[in-house]
Amino acid sequence: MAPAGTLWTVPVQHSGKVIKATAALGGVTIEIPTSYEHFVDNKKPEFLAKFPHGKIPAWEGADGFKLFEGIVIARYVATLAPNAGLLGHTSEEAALVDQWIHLVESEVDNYTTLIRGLCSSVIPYNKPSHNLFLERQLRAVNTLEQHLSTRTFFVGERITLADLYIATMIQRAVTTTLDAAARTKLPNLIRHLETIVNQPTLKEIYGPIEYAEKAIQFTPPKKEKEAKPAAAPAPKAEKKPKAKEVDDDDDEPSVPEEPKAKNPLDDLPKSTFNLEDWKRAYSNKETRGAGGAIEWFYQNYDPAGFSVWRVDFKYNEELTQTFMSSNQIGGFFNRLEASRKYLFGSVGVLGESGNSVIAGTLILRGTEAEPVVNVAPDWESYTYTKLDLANEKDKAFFEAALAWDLEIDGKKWADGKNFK
Amino acid sequence: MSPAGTLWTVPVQPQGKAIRATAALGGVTIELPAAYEHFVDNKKPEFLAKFPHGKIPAWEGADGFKLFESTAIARYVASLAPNAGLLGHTSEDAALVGQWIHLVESEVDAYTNMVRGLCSGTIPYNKPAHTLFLERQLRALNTVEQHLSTRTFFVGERITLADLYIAALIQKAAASTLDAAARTKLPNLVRHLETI
Repeated sequence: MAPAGTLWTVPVQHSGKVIKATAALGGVTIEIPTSYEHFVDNKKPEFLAKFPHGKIPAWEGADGFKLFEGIVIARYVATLAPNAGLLGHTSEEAALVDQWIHLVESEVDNYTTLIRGLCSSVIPYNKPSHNLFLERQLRAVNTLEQHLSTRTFFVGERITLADLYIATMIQRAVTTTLDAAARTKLPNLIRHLETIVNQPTLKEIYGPIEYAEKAIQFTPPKKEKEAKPAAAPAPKAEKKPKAKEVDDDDDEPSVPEEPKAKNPLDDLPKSTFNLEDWKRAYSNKETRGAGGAIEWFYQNYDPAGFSVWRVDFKYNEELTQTFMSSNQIGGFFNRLEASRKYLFGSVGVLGESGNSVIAGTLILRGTEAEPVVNVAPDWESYTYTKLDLANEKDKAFFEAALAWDLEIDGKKWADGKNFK
Repeated sequence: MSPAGTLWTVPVQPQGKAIRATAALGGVTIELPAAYEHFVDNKKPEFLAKFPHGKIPAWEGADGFKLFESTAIARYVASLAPNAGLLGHTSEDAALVGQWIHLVESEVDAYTNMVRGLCSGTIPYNKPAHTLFLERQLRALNTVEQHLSTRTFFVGERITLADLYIAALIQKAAASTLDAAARTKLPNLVRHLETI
């Protein structure tokens, strides 16, 4: 039988898998060019002439009909085999197939993609976002679990495109966000996944399910090849979104595993100043005054092993609501988590909404700021100025930032965060 | 003519607008409960019994058929009025309607939402992400602009669900990410929005 059309995709692409499964169950023969090289061929004029957005999956029917957007192609291929019932048998069933696919696309799979983006620094990492996305994904996943608790398939009594699509996206989720702990609460969803993936006609298309023991976590980028998201967002973003098109659906080999590098800060000569003791003193004592934390600091500080810094946000003109700026500081501190052993911070937003600055102080291991702060992908959104505690102005700045009563150009401290 | 069904939405919801527009052009009478209070009524047991995910838009047909997810409802309502041609006239037309809606949903509207989330603090703000999302949105907008540079409507020569749905999402974008400067480079998209 002559192929009904040609599908451009790559083997790891998830939405390509859905189309292949649809064609297999529907008995629709499709051609898949194996010599297709993504990121190369999809930029060529002949591809763009057919598919102006330059994306895959892309479909060209034997009749010349051209289509892109993965799920749309899958639905179209299903219409080529109406007897297979992959869209149900009535308008209502077809609508329900749409409903479940759209729910998973917009509230499960998009969060898998966002979380992978965060953990690989395509999107600057911050833990609150990571948690928010996991929560939202879980809400949708629980709706799916509930629906499947009384059903084998999503719509009606037979496999439809909804089952094929959802199994694909859940197969992707169980390798990333739905870890062993999460899966114990989703027995029906897993049963559904296993049922679809093990259909004889579909086994080879879906491949093995690689269940993750633990959900993916953030891996800070290697220090040597530190990308500069603030300084040069255009070149970095130019590269990454292209990786994203395939990443939206694929198994993500494009971000290599980061081996844990030994931290050079651990090799510094031992210091008499213990950062953990400082953090305790700061937390338990009044900041200013006799017997306070600042007094403790000057009694114990070791300027050979540590340094004190002023930090300023570079784009204060963009700050709006002070509570949002406070969130931003929190996010920055979250991203500095990998340097917890080497860092203390007291940073605040000063002024009022619409007329504010972010500034504060950091106490760092070693004598340079960069090795400690560049674990945060957005470290270059701030300037770091070493403070000389023998200088009256620097000393006053440092103490005021610790005491949360810092004032700059008439702007008073409104709110702040501590990294400790 | 008795209503074909009831649609739970709120007046400002863009996807709700697209469904209402579909019903209007298709001559499908739908009921819109004016007393519906979102964040309150959608958490009540009677709503959740019909719509377990608690989301709007939500549809209940006069025949009792229940549906949620905006594009699914929009497409279903369009299918209730096949002569209006809102899904085109062939499987291919319908597929193209799906293609354009999906592109705008996933690569324009998704980024409008992300940028709004960042700017409101719902998602912790950071500038590199903001810039990245705007860039990605622009790429899709340029594809759409290019397509409309030689066409009045997205698919064929008449209004389809693609025009209705996309206009609703672009209307939302024009109020947030597509500012005056951006719009000067998207004249066909703006012309299309105004037309619809």
